[in-house]
Amino acid sequence: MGDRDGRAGLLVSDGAVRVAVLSFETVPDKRPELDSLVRWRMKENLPFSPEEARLSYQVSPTRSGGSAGFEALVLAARGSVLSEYEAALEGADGRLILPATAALLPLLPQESAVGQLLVNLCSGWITSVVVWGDRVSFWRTREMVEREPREQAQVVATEVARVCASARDHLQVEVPRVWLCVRPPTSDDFASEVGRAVGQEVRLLAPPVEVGASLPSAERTPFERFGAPLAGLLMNSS
Amino acid sequence: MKITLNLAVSPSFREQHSLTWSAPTALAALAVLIVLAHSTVRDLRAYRKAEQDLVKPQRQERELVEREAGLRRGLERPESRATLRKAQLVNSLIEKKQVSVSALAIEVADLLPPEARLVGLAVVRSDNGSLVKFQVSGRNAQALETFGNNVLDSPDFEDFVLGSVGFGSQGAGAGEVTVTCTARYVGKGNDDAGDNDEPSPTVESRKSKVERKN
Repeated sequence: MGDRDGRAGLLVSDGAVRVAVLSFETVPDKRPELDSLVRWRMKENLPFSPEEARLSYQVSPTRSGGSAGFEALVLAARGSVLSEYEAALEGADGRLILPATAALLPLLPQESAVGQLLVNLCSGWITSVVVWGDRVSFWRTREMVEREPREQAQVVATEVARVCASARDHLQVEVPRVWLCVRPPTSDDFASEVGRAVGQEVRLLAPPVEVGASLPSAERTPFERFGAPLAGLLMNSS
Repeated sequence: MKITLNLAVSPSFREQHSLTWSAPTALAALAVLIVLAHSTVRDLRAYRKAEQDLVKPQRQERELVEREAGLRRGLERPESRATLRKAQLVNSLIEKKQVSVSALAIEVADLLPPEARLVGLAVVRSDNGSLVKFQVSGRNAQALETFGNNVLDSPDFEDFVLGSVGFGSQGAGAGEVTVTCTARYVGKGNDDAGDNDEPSPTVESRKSKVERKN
């Protein structure tokens, strides 16, 4: 994605990025020390050396009601893999690289003290993210080998049920909202089928209408079908 | 929710400001280059001027060296070498003619018998050598005669002439005989007289040395 100013962003497949939510009792004040601490804690989540990883993280206090401390949402990817992706952005300024699911997070409605589950099905990967308030509490990505929509709906329903149970048991978070983003886009029946399987409402995550309102009608349709991550980035920057 | 994540590498300070500072840096480098070039040209001119100033002394030095070489070649000629040998011979003879008073006194004292003593000694330059005047006192005439014979027998003295004779009548010299005599000293020079630091009485004779100047 890019704009007329030469700035560009790159959304990579969720499978290329390892994401973890780490808890800390305290965090160092100095940024280099915090970098080292986060890199060291991410070691067990990486299939490669932590020194090869390129990290990005955001730290926030632990949600109220829980134990005092901090939580960090950490993204990690092998530097050599990202460099290959970046080669496609050669000459562009203002680079932004995110996993596709991360770009969807700004599209979730702001609801304090309410758990929301975002399920993103894209490029053969299914990613489940539990958001509580304004912070991510859970993130899991697994490969989707099923190709048939019915099989995929079954897999998604199973994943939703597992994640909701896990959030309830381990995070003490109820997840009344389930959002589903599927690309290439699918019919509303897919969400309904998943909702029936898990016994709760599942909504499709779509870009807000006002984001694509200024686009010509010829571009509006593909934007509504594929532009959810882009809309998320626009909302994140606004 | 709002995210602040980005896996892209943030550009370094250099990458952020390299383009901004490239033009001023280039201008500054150009200015420095101009200053250096100007300085180099100035130094080169000063070097050329110093080099030109050095040409004249170097030419004079070469001429002096050539003159010295010519003079050395002249000295190597047979007639010049003969002149040089003569000058060296004359100088050696002059050296031999130098007389030391202390050495002369010792030589005279060696000629004195136990009954005589040297009262006075003087050296006078003459055309044919150094004329020595003695004044010797003895207890008797026999001692003075022995002294005179010793001087006559000495190869260092020639033309011994006995002068006045006196007899002491008062004080410590009462009863002694004093004689004054002269002789021409033809003996050894300073080289044979042993080491001493006394100036030669014939220093002026050195002025007559033939100098090795051409």
